[in-house]
Amino acid sequence: MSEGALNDALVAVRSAKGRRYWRSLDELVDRADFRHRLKEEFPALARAASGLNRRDLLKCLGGTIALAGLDGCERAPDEEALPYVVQPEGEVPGEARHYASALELDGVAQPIVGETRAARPIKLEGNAAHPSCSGGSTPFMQAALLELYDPDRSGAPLYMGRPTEWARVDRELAQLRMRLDTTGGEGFRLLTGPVGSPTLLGQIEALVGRWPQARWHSWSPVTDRRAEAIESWLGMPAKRVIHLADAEAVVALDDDLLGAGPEQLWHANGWGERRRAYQAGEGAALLLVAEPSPTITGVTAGDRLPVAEARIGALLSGVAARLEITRSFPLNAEEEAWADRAAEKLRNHAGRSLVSVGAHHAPELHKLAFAINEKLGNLGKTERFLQPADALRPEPLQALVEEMRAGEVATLFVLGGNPVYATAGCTGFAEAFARVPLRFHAGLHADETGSRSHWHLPLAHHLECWSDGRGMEGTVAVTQPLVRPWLAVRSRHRLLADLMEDRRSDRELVRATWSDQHDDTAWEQALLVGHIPKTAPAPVASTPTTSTSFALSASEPERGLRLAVRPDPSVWDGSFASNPWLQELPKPLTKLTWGNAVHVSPALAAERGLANGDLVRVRAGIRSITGPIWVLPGQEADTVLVHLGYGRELGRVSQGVGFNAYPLLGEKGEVFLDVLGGREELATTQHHFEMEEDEYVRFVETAAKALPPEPPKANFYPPLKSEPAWGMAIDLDLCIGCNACITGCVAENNIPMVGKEEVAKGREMHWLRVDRYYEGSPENPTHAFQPVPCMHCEDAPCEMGCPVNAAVHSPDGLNLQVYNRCIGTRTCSSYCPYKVRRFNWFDYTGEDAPEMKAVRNPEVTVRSRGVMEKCTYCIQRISKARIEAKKENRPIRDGEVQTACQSACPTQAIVFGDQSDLDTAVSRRKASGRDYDLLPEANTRPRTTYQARIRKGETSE
Amino acid sequence: MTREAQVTREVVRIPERFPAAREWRWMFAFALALLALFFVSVGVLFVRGPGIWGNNIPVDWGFPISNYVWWLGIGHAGTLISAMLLLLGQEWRNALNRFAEAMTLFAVVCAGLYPILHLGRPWRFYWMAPYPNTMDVWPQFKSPLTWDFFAVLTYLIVSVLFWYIGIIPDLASARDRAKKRRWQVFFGLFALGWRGSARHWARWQTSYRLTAAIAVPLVVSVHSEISMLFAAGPIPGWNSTVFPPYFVLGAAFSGFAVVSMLTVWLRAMLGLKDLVQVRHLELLGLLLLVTGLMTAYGYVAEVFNAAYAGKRELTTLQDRLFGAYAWSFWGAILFNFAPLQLMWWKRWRRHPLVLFGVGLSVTIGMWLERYMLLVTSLYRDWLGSSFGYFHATFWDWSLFAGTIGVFLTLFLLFVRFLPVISAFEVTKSIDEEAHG
Amino acid sequence: MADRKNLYAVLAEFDDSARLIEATRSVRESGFTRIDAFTPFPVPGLAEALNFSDRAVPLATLAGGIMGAALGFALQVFTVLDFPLWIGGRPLIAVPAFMLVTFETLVLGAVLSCIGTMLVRNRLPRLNHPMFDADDFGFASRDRFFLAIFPDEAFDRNAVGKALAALHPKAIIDVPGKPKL
Repeated sequence: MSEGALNDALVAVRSAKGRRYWRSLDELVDRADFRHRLKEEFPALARAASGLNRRDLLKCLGGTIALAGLDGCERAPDEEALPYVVQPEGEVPGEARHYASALELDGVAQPIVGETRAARPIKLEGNAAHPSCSGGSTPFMQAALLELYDPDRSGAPLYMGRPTEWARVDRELAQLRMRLDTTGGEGFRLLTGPVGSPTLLGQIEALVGRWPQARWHSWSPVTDRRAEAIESWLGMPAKRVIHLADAEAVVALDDDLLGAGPEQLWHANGWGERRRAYQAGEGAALLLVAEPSPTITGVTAGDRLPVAEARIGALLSGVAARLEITRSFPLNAEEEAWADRAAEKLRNHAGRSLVSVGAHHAPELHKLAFAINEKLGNLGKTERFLQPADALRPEPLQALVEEMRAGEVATLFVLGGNPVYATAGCTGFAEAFARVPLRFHAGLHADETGSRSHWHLPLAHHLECWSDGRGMEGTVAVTQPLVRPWLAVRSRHRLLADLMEDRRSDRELVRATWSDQHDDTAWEQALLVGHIPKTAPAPVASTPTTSTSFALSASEPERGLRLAVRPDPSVWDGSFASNPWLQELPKPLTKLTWGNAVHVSPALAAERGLANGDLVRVRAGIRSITGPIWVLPGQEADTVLVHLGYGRELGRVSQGVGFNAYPLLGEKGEVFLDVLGGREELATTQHHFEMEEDEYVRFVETAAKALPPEPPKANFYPPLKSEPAWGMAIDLDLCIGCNACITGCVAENNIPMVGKEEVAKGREMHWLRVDRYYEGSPENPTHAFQPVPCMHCEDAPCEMGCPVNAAVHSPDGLNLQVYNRCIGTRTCSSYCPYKVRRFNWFDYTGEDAPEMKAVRNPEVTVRSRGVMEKCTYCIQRISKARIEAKKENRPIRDGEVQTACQSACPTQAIVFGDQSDLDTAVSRRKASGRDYDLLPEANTRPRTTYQARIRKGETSE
Repeated sequence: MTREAQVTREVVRIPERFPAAREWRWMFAFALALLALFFVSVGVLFVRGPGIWGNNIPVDWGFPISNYVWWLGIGHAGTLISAMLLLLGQEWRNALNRFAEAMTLFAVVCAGLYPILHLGRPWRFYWMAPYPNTMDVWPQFKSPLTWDFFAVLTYLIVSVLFWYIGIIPDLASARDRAKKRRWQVFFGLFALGWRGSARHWARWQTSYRLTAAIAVPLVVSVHSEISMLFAAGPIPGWNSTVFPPYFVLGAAFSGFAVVSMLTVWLRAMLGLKDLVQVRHLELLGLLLLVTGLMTAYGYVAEVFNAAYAGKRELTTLQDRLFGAYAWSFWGAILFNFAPLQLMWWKRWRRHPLVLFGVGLSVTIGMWLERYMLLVTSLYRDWLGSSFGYFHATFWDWSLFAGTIGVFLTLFLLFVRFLPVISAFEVTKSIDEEAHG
Repeated sequence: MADRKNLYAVLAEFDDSARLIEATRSVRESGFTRIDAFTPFPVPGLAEALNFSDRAVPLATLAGGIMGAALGFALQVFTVLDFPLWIGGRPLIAVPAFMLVTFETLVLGAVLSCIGTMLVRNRLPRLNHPMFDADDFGFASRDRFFLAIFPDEAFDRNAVGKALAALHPKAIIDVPGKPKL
């Protein structure tokens, strides 16, 4: 029988209801071609199908393919999407299905593997099969899951703020199309964020091709001037990629390589790989950072210099001068010393070193950095320039604003993003926007821009539509839906296609983009692994066309305070502001949640008599903002740092949280602080950061060194013997404090978010926290991160405290918390030296919206009011593995159980396994000389141990 | 009429012809108001959850537990006074033991309420008791909480019985005197038909003395076990062997303080001046002074131990002395020991108002001490990252006030309807004086 | 005799504990065995005068204590063995930890059996009793002291009357009621 006939049959099944549905399904099962398709789609099921009787087979199918027939909101996986892996032996189909897909952040594809249960996506992990990801993830990738289920997402088109039909939208688009056809696109402007999807680019190309007068503008809230630098240096546009995995000496000037953002995963993977190599004795892993305010990159660096943003140029020139590239500007003693060290390391590791400057800095600086890398022979190795994949180039935002002011824009179509909110005050976009006669906005939320547009068109989330994108190193990742949209939404591709009357489905659109290179089998393979091989652009011949004379503007030491505006590590440019998981995610360095602050240096705070929470007005030029103070050790004395992404007008979650810093974005020159007298309570999860003489985080000098041996501690009781004996090892030398583990844990274990007030009371529920300490002078201290899950102590004090046997030990050495036995005496928490236990002070979960319930992991109990909870070492994953092993009658393999934090970690800092077997990864880690117990004096025999941080980045010192 | 007869009449007639009906009504109204507050607080607690309090991580025990310890401490004086002094043959106790014991009972009731209310799931409190159940699980007998559960329950039962068999003979005489029928029935029932047979007296006396003999170590054990609640946890500032005696002494101290206040008050209100005489006040003053000094020694011992117990204990000590909650430490010192010094002088000991004032101050001081011991250890225990602060909320205070309401209500009912002084024991001692 | 049928006891009333003791002693010496005294408070020496002693209460207390302790300890051992759980790396049967609950059950057992025995041996509670029918008996709970002689086979009201009169009581009272023979 023909493929088409079968498809029709399938459609018939889905459209059918109740008994008719089962009957048609029944018929379906006997069809030869269906069996064939079955084998393709679920090999395991097909195998079972021969053995199983038809009845059981029907049961399985009822759950898997046919949900569409059962519930109205069509929450079923897309019929064309293919399972990620050939499912392992003995796995029951329909229990969990994995799809390779990709998210997109600022035009960069983030390859993921999504796990769906009962056709609901419930967990995302990084897709290690994709060349631009070697495992792990980032908080943004993890939290994208909640974004999908966000109850605030707009579910229907709005016209003038009132809900309307897509049919009406279609009519409107049809009229627009006719107008554009007659005028050739006169006055039509398309505004997007950074576009990474080749398919979308193709569509935009087609659009501009069809209507020559139309223009495409693109903007990014986060200033990136590197592109222009590259163009003027190479004489052609190119994509720049750096490979930290190969860079033994990295000099980052005000460049937050490891920090949150689209590049975080790629860089963290690279850094982790390099650092692990260094630990294994293969070369060095040096990181030298000069920055105005501490970032997790600076904190990770072995050599950090706090320096005003305006001095970066001078500092870079100093480094360049020492490498005989250009003359140097006068530097002070500290800067001289740092430049010496930087230049030395760079030279020592020529060919395997890298200089990088923050993307927001002037093109001249980037060009100088490129020149240094070229001179050192790093080009093509640690720093590579790739052919631009896209012919069409967008025009900048400012041009659009001018046109809008001049009234030349008749129709503005904003495709994604929220420019009214997320554009610098100085651009004056919002005012100009209001003057456009016809305004469309397509986005996930009816946000500031949506509410100011005539038409708001709800967009589909990346997890529910077809698309494609390019990973960091250029390979194309295919985005396939994990679930069908249950809201009346449309994808970006659909909207443009509808505008251009393109009847092809999204899938066909994406498929068409790659039709020339790939036949169907190759395509299905691509869907299975999540990327299209050999699609990375070729490197450009990296010969600079411009002379190597650099017109650096000599930046004479400035007076007064200077402002640094950065995207927020938790909510980025504001696009995640409605995501509670990220709002409540403690920012790496301040542990602030639910809001931003005006960060000042300890020196400035002392001089002005400022304390955390004091309200100040920050004035720059004609604009000003008001926010609470936060004193940040390690910040350059005269720098004032604020984060973007807060102070939203709309949104149940985001409204009224923090202040909006966009008005000050791009302001140059001196800023002024006026103390307003008021105070605002900031919700932080850590109040005390000084380590003093406590050795919570321990250090060794180089990778070769070991910690002084601990004398054996006296103990009445023998150590706990069990097989397996689960244990965890956390390498503090690899931890960069990126918080991916926390978000991963939240997603896996249904951790409730409690809101600002509760966090301020000290009632956050995170099972895993990342403590941050510093030691040394507040001007430039040594910072360190320390992820703290439950220690699963062998001699657990918590268990001694519990009167009802709710806290007990399992035969495989887990410290269990039995929720339904717990009566909430909280003794366990009082007795816990590590304070890792969390208590349900209120009913935190009962009132959740249905969407929020849908996101929950069905394998993890949702805790009720009045019970204690804590890290379980992801016991549900352990038992899953145990069951599999039992079925096959074998021991659990090493690495078979991965805790959520472990699989989320981009640097592989966390290792979990059976420590009774000396040949497991975790045992090897614990055998290292850097292994130590947290709070040894508590003598609790913790199963979670740490590996000391290494101060120096190379042994030859 | 003989002296004996007068005494007995004076005491047992109180319920029938209550001397201070007006004052009593006012006080009872006040007590009922607080009682109402108690029920409101508990209602809100049950509806919304323990989150209405200031508790958090790390300070996950707050008011409920420190108040529990405070109440229970107060609840030790009665038994101590009547049992220990009975064994020591201190006849003067007879003027005080009856209402001291009553005070004990009601304080223990308030104390007992707290651990239950503070639970996350109060409706499951009975899981602490060993009984066969569908889950087949038993209590965890290595936990100090289980010890407490048994200790407090035992203590409640024993003190009720001790108090009750002590009051039976007076109920009998009240019965025999009662004119109104309803009083006769009321007392008659509770007197169990006591008729003062010499044989009954003999057995009664043995059992009363035996119970007393057992009650004394019981009191000590109970508060020692309460102290384990802290001492058994690996928390700097708690994990100390000084705690059991330290807690017991503190308990006696706070208890005697409350007894002194009640004595002065009842004496004035019920006009018992010739039964509760100045020498009784003086002896109470002495007791206060002695136990107070012992408690002070406990403080010193604490500091001494901390100074030798290594870094963390030392840091906790510094936190107590100079930290965010230093006010509770110095407050405890001030209220517990400053006014107490007046008790060195006979004339102040004999002065009812001064005694009352000292009692009040010590009661407050001991509350501050319990608070200090609990909070200052928890809010900065081990990891710098998990330091956190505790701030009591309105509901913390309202529940506390509520339990005071429970206490006052019960005590006022006792004063109103039962013989507040052990008449037969007083007459006995008078009789013995008469026969040298 | 008619009144013999309905005579529960004969009471001699005194207003001083010392004289009651003397009276008791002499009555017993003059051969009356079925006698008792009623006083408003425990009078020292009266039990001796009546030649009364009963070790039941202390013995019961001891037994109850031992019983309670044993049960308490057994309970803890049984429960940990019935559902063995690893707690804080400690041995299942942790004797030091078990001692505290054991002590509490000891106390409970002792006190309950002590007071229980006292009541049982005293035949209490008993709300009605022939004694209560005697005039002025109520004073026994206030300030009067009564000596009671109960009739036996060889009971002679007059002899008894004489013997009591010899003690110069304030009054001699017949208590009506069915005699216990």
